[in-house]
Amino acid sequence: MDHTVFSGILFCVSFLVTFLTTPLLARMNKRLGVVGTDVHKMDKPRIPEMCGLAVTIGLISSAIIATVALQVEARPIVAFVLCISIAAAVGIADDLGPLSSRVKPALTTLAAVPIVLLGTYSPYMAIPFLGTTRLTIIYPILVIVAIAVLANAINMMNPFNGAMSGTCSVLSLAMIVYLLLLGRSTEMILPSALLGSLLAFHWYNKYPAKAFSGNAGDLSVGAAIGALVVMGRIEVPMLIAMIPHITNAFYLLSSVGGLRERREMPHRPTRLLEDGRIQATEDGKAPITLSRLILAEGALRESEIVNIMIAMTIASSLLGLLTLLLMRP
Amino acid sequence: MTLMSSRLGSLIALIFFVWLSIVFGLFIVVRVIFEISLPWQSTLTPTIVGVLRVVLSAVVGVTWLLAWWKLANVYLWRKLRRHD
Repeated sequence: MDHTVFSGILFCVSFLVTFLTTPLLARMNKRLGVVGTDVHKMDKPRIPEMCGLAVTIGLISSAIIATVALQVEARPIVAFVLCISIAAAVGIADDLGPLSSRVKPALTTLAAVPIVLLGTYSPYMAIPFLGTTRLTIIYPILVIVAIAVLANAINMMNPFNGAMSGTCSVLSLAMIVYLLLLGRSTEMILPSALLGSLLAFHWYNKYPAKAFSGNAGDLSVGAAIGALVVMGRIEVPMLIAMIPHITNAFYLLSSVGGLRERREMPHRPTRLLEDGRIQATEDGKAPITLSRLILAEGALRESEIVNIMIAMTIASSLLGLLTLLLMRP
Repeated sequence: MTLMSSRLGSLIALIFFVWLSIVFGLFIVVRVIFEISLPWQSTLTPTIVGVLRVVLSAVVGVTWLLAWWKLANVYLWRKLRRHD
């Protein structure tokens, strides 16, 4: 069977599994008291946390079907499943008992270990103006750094309802398009499953959210994107597509002077107005974030901010596409 | 709607600047810095050239980051003041 058909099947499987699992997880977590406050709403509702695990469950289900029913090569699938499971485990540990701002990124590097140990990467990296270069020694180190950085960058870009699921859906679609253009249909299977899972989760996570992704979901999705970028050999175009996420992380870290958790920042970049809109603060000590830059021109509703974030990710994905076309011989 | 479009336009311009700096920076590193050679030959020349390439490439990288940081700061405070 054609790999494009496989991709379609896995898109549907992961969509359905995530769509059915999210409300179950939400109910279970609410019962267990695993809830977070939606701080950008006037009535401060308590929303079930860690529901992003439904995306991980959707991806693992698709991976099992890919290897068992569709006979796709097992090694990359096993590496991928281990990678997202380790990232999800780190996220669960952070959601249940907060990890320190240094321990969390350090533990996230473990998610890259299966990719490196199972050798599901190619040390030949395409770089603009240089062509394909062989990075035998440096590449495995880059894989570990890249997966940890991307997982945490995705985690930092989730301050509003639907921000993570919306922007990461765009990134998954961009990955599929890049791989399609490069003629790498085998590598398209897992990004298609990721897109299916994220779209299903977005249904519950979009404004007004009925389920929060939590660190478990954010780190797992970030690690999944990192692993798929490495396995699909689309490093540079995806680096460009992720400019909003990477710059947000860079602005945040450099303005607070290093790794800090949200709870460790007394000065907030935004505040909620009485009419329900969100405004950028003028506090010189508050961190610079993408949402603060978006709100610098005036207050907006939460859904409008997320729409701008999604539009920015679409724009950067198009620049990634342009970079890919410029890199082709 | 027009206000949203102009806001989105400014933010996409920021992304475009970052993209341009990455592409131009890579061009400088690959086509200029990696081509550096010294006019004399000795046993130390390959080491000096290697170190020089790494240091100059790092300078380009740090310049990107400083430029992004400066631009974000200028954008944020100018817009915030204008909005006041």
